[in-house]
Amino acid sequence: MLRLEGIHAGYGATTILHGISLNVQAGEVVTIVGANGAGKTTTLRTVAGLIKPTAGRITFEGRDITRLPAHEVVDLGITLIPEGRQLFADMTVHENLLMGAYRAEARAKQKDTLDQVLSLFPRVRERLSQSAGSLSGGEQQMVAIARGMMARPRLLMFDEPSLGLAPIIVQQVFDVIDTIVRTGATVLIVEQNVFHTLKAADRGYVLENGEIVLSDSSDALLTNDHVRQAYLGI
Amino acid sequence: MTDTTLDNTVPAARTSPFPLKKAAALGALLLALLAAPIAIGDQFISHIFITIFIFAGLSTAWNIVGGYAGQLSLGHAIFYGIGAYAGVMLMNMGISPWLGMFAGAAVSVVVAVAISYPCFRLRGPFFSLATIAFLEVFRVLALHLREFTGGATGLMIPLKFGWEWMVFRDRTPALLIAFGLLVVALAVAWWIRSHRLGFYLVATRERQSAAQAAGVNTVKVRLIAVSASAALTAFIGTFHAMYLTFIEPAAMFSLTMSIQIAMFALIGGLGTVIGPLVGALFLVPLSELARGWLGAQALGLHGFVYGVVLVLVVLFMPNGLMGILSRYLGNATPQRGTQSASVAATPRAAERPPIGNDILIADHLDKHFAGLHVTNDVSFSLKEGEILGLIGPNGAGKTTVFNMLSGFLKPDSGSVKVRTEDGSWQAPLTPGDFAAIGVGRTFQIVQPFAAMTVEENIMVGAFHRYRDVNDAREAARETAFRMGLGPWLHAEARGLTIGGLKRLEVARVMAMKPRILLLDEVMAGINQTDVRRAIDLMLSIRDSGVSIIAIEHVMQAVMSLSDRVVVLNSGQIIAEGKPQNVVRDPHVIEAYLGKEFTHAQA
Repeated sequence: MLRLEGIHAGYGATTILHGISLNVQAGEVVTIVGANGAGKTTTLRTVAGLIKPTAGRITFEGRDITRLPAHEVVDLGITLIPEGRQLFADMTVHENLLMGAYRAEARAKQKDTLDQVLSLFPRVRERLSQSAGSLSGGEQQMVAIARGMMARPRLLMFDEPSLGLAPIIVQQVFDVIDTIVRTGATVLIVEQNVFHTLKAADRGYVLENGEIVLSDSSDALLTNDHVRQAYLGI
Repeated sequence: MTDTTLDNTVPAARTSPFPLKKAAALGALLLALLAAPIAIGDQFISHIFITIFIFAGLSTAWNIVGGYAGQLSLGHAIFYGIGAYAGVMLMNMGISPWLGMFAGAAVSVVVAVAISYPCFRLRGPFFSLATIAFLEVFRVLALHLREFTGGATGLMIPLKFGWEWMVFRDRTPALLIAFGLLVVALAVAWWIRSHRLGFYLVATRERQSAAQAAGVNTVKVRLIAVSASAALTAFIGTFHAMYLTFIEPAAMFSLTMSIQIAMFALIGGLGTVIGPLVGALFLVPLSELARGWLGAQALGLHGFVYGVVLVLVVLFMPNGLMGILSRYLGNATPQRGTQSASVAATPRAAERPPIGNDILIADHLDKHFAGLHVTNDVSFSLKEGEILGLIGPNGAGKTTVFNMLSGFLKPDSGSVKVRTEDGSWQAPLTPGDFAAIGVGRTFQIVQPFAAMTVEENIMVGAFHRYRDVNDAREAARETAFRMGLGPWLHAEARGLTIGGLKRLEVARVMAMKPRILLLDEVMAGINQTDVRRAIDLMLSIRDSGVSIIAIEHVMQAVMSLSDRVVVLNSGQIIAEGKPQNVVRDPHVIEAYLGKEFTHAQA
């Protein structure tokens, strides 16, 4: 479904990704594991069209999206739920969700989508009229995921969904992700909570210094010595 | 494996932040600018160069406030006009403008402080609006106080020639004086930018709260900047009046001119030392030429030319001409992202110092936000050499407690007391007081000074201990390598990931060498292996005698770090005690940990 071939990318003069290749099949949950600054977030931002790669090719369902602007990538059905939530703090929860369905295609089905999404997030439904900034961190993360769902994505990319959340909320977030996965969505996820994520994923890539050094099924990675030592702290 | 081999050597600090080569190039440029009109010897060319020097000087002075301090003054002609009127009025009384310019500068500084002081305590566009309003006030005053200022007819200077009176038949002496004033302005601007004051100004501009937490008196540093800028502007105003030989309110207190001064800096490169000079060099000839070519047929068309240039610059050169120049002068060397340096594995002291007596006491803290009881009668204490974990669900009020423990929020009732080094107790009120007494904090929502490099960010903290730039730089480097930020020293802070920014927060506060450290979720966004390293780092910080309160969700860290844990829920303390006891508390499990956590622990 999604295929990256030899992607080089970075910020300004700094190159962060040095030729990474990976693919995600429809219906799969794939995770990228790596140290801080290895390039995980950069990878997701490159797919989302927020960073333009300096070399390499990205295809989505056979179509070349390497140079597409971010809003057209969203139109094709790829949504990034960014690190640190990034809600529109002064807007209400309802308005935040509508912003998720801003593009013409999504806007046409806005009402239906909203109902479907809210059925996944009963807590969000209760908060619709509150301003997003007044919510607790856990609720904000739920709204961020719900906003991502509003674009009716076929590929959902999560960047650190458990960042800064209380343990009890982390469980809820992973429960929600599980529910989304069960609806048949394709998911690419980046998380520091490696153990939890590998449990939820089918396959994983290990990214170090901007290069993929290892790729295998989640179960194999969980027992891999290098992964255990470097990322699970076992 | 990339992250076990760690380069712990700290390279020697650069001796000068402003390399010799650059200084030599700037010197050569300035000399050429002075030599060219003298060599040509044409009156009109000399006039253009004098105009360039004057506007470059004014813009350089403006840049100290508008660029470094980020306070957009749109009324800088106030100080220019005061300088001009002071010079001419005193000259009419027989006093040399060489003295008059200091009188003008003194009045300007008083006016500048009076305008700025109330505005700098607020956030928002108030300073810009106030400068425009006061500019109008001064123009009207100059019109009305006819017996002193000559009103709308303006003032002529008495025609007394010679160096004593700053008035000449020939242009060359005027050229020299204008050049001298420009050099003075550049020297002051350079000095500020390369010393502690400059770091403090930029830090305040970028993130006011983080600057306050680093012990910066944000109002004071900006008042110093505005005073220096006003004085320099007044000097140039006095000279320009002598050069023009005639002044009137509309020309001296002009909004157009104020905007022009700001625009030279904007186009040249906001906040850089020589940006305003570059801007003036580019724009003054352009506008003179436009006026010359278009003036007769199309009055005011030169304004249009200006506008077009400004639009082009904003669109294509957001960092001004300096941005382009520094790109081609090879400042930005492409680098391969050396990203995953880990937190240094720190050797621990063999024995931890014993836990002492109370060093910080939170006494019945109560805080409401619009009807919401955010903290309700929260009391606890921190002992010397202890690590206290503060946990609780998102929205429980943990960060609000931190804000009260560091002076960013005043409790509605209750107080925070801190034991000083000499053993006495104090109740500090402002963030500055807390920093001065040795309380350092990080922010949950990271607060990097985005336009500064990693090294400069940490230096802002280090300046709390060191006045000298080189000492601060060395301390910052040491801290950076300790925090695993070594490879990033010269990267701009905005390029770091969340994990990197969290470490930068800790590095900045560690560079202050606090006695009490408040850490707000510093482990978020780093993986388990780095969490273990960070735990070791925290323990080594504790062993060096620092007392720590840590808000944290990473339970692995909470459990292995904390001597005691305080659990907050809905603004109230629901449990307190040793970590292993607290996690078994049914209330804590229900409100915070969740049932699965208990299963995982079992």
